[in-house]
Formats: sequence, structure tokens, C-alpha cells
Amino acid sequence: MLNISDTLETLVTELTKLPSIGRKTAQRLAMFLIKQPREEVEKLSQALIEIKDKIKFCKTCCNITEDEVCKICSSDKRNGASICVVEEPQDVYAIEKTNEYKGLYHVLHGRISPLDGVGPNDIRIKELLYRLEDDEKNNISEIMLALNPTVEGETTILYLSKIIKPLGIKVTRIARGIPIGSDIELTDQVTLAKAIEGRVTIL
Amino acid sequence: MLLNKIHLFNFRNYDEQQINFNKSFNYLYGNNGEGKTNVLEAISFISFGKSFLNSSEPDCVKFDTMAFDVDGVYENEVGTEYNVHLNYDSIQKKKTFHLNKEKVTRWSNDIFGRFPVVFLSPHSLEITYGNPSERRKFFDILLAQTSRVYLDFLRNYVRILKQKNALLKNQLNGNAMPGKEFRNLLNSVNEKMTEYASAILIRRFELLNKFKGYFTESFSFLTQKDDIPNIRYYCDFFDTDNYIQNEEVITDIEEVQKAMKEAVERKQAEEMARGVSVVGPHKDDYIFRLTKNTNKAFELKNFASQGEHKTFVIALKLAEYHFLNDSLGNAPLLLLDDLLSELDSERVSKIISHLKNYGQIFLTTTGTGYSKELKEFYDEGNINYFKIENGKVVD
Ligand SMILES: [Zn+2]
Repeated sequence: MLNISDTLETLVTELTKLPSIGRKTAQRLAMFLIKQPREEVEKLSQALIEIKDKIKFCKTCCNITEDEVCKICSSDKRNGASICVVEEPQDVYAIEKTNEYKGLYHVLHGRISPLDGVGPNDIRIKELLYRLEDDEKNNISEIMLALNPTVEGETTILYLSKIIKPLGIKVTRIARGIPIGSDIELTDQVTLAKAIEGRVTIL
Repeated sequence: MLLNKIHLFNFRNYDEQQINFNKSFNYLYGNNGEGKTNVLEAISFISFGKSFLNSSEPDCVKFDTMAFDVDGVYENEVGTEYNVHLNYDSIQKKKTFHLNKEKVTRWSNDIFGRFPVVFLSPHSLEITYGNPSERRKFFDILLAQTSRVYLDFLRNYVRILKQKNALLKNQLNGNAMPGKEFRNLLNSVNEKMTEYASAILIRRFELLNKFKGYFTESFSFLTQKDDIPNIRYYCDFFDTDNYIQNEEVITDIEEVQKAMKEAVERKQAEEMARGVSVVGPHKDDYIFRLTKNTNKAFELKNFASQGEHKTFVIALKLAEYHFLNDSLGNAPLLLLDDLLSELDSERVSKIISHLKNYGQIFLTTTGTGYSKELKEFYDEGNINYFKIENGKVVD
């Protein structure tokens, strides 16, 4: 194919490195940017540089933050006895929106998947263990695993429970069930089967 | 379920062709290579999501075009119509399904098992002649159509198996992780794998128990002899013989899990040395046996004649039909691809006399040779003949 401009080509190549951006989409985005006023593009490039300069990972929970320690970790209104483990920062925001959980978090930044070359040392498990082993100070009594119910999420849950168990801390996982507002009749068989498996005693 | 019509666009050697089917019998004839089987393959795409003949989608796109479409109208017992549309785009390498004009996002939930089809072709002989994977596939597809939960376990199992093999290979190829992490992770993977494996084994075994009744009936219908067929589930890590003898199902999942756990531990050194998982239901097999009137049981795979293989396969397929019909409460379409030409005339007559017990039938063959025999069982209005020539219905 004819290469119109090396500069354009460089941008397209960089954009295709982003998740779920194919070459076609990258070309469309690049053409869009070319037509934008200079100040708009400057704002975008500034924002891109700033996320690298200003955004860090919290020293404690590994969530993204602009401080050394994030707002949740440094808050005195949170229950420090409970840590909810999630795969990605966006999972923290999803749970925070419920306003139901008052404990702390730990963000793994991924899940174990040997197929993708991701082992236990490639995600933030060591940081979690460090928090737990430092227990005298932290006094943690429960680890709540809120990972995705995929094969990789399940494997990571099992791995974590294996290494946390010897520390004598209670490990729980969030339940899988029927979405609120949907009928049992309309729920797919797999979700229904999991909900039956995870049933709870009421009397 | 009935298939009222199908519309093909750029599918194999078809440009554009609509075919309106008979609700009972559809007789597609023509010389080899003219496109009879392609019609059946198109039906497999809209009921199954893929080709029964294991063709890849790009192979099904008409030469010099970029995409194919298969559009079908099904009708259920109470007359409700379902429009199923499949588009395959060879540039984006993407299959898109629509059910009643709405895009299907979860194919296995919305389509799989709803438009059941039983396909019998010379290719089906792979079930008895081929590798264990052919037999597992036959039963897995049968089971998955009647249980989404099984399908989910199976997918998860395939995924964790890949993960385990990757873990073992990485460790072998110098991408090793520290020993403690590796052991903990391998144990976690094995535990998860055992969980899925046991659920799969128990369901496969339960299915086979139910299926055997259907199978024995179909088999005895096809043969006059006193041959007694049998199917045994063979699992390397769990002895199923006690259950088979007592005609019991396996209910204790923990017992299966324990057996697999022990087998995995026994083979751990071998798995690590070879970098591949060697224990699990991906190694299981279904053993087909025949007990002759001489009272000697023998294994089909090694000792049976070609005729015995064919009888076995046809019996499996007819049993598949009845099993699906009963468990889904929905009559499958019966696709018979070039089947009769492979059989002796006695058996052909027998099968033809029996076909009216099945729902909608699609038969392909080279000539109109069977029309006379079919007339005995089907009125003129209950049979349609389609002559196929060079990717067109010409008559
Ligand atoms: Zn934090």
C-alpha cells in the first residue's frame, strides 16, 4: 500500500497498540485528529503525558492515584479489617458506586493466565501478601475476592486462597447469581445452575 | 422443528438460490460436485453455527466473492416462525448471526440446541473408524445441545487444559517461574481442572446410560441377527465398570475428584517432563463392542466388517435423532447425505420404510432411483424433488 506520510503512519501504528483498536479504527482516529484544531490536539497530548507524570499506583493497594497513598487507603472512615481484591481499577469504581462496601481494596492489575505469559509474579500478589504479613499493624480479618467468574479469574481465586489460608485470615468470594430485576424463567441455564450451587440457608 | 425455506448467497457454488422445502420429504439429486451436499452444509450453519463437514468458513465463500449469507425460516410445532440469518465476512473474518432480525450476541444461548439437526453422511463413519476425539465429539455435541451447563463445563475444561499445557510448557522452555509459585499455581490449575473434569465425566456417563436404550432399539431394528451391541465409557483415571454392571449412575462427585487427583499426582513427573497434560476426560473414549451369536464380544474398531461399522453408525445416528427429539421436545431435521448408495438394497428398503417415523427429511443422492420405493410411503404432496446442477436448483 502507498505510504502517504511517515508521520501519519507512526501515529496509526501507535494507536493500534491500544486495546480493541484495529488498523481501520486507528486510521479513522488519526484522520479525525488531523482535522482537529491545534489546541484540541495539544490538550489530548498534554493529558496523555500527564497520566504518566502524575498518576501513580497507590503504595498500599496498587490502585491508580495522584498521591503516594490513595484516598481510600488514607481515609479513616474505612474498615481496615477487610480487603476486597479485584482485577482492575475500574472494578473498584463499580463496587464503590454501590456504597455498600466500607473496607479497603487491592488491585491485582490482571489475573493469572499462563497462556498470556502472566504468572503470579506478573500481577500485584506480592504487594497483597506484604500487606497481610504486616498484619500486626493492619489487623486484617477478611479477604474478599471479587474477581471475574472466568476460568482465569477462578484459577486466580484458588491460587490466592491457597497462599492466604496459611496466614489464618478468612477468605471469601462474592456470590454468583441471578441478576436483580430479571426473571428466573429468563435467566440462562448456566447462571441459574451457579445460583443453585451457591444457594444459602434461610431457616 | 421444520425448515420451510433457505436462501443462499455466494455460498460454495451457489450465487443466489432460494429453496422452499417440503414439510415431509426433500429429495435432492444430481451428479457429484453439483452442490447437493452444499445445501445440507448450509443448513448445518444456521442450526449449528458451523459446518458438519468441518469445513472452514473461508472455504464456503463462493470463488471471487468476499462473504456468504445463509438465511433460513424455521417453524415450530405450533406454527411460530423463526428467521435465522448467518453472514460470514471473509475480510473481517467474522460470523454474525441474527435471530428474527435481532443480532445474536450469545450464540450458545440463543441458537444452539433450538434448531436440532441430525446429519448422516459417509463422513459419519469416522465415529467408529476414527480417533477417540471423533467419538467424544459425537457425544459431546449431543449432550451440549441438551445441557447448557454441560457446554459451559466443557468450554471451561478446554480453556483450563490450554492454561495447564501453557504452564507446563513455559516451565520447560526456560520461562520458568520460581518453584514455590509454580507448585502452588499447578495445584490450583489441577484443582480447577479436576472440578470441571468430574462434572463432565458424571454427565457423560449419565448421558450414555440414557442413550444406550435408544441405541439398542435402533440397532436391533437395522439387523436381523442376534448381535448385541454395547457402548462402554472408558476413563483412564476412574473405573466405570462397577457402575456399568450395576446399571448405576455416578452420583458421588467427590469420589471422581479424588480418583483424578490421585491420577494427576501419579503422572505429575511425566506431565512436567513432557510439558503436556496427560490425565483427564480429554483422554477418555467410548468403546463400541459387538457380541455375536457365538457369544464372543469384540471391539468394533479392530474387528468389525465394513457392514457392521455402517450398521453401528446408522444406529447411533437414528438413536441421536430419537434422543434429541425426546429430550428437547423438538423433532430434529434429518439430513441424509449420500447414505443409501453405500448400503445393500435390503437395508435401504428397511430404512426407507422406516423414514416416515421421522420428522422433516433431506436426502441427497445421485439419481432418482429411490423415488419408486418412496412412493409407497409418501403421497405426492409429501415429497419434493430438487434437481441440482452447477449450484442451481433446475427442476
Ligand atoms: Zn490505596
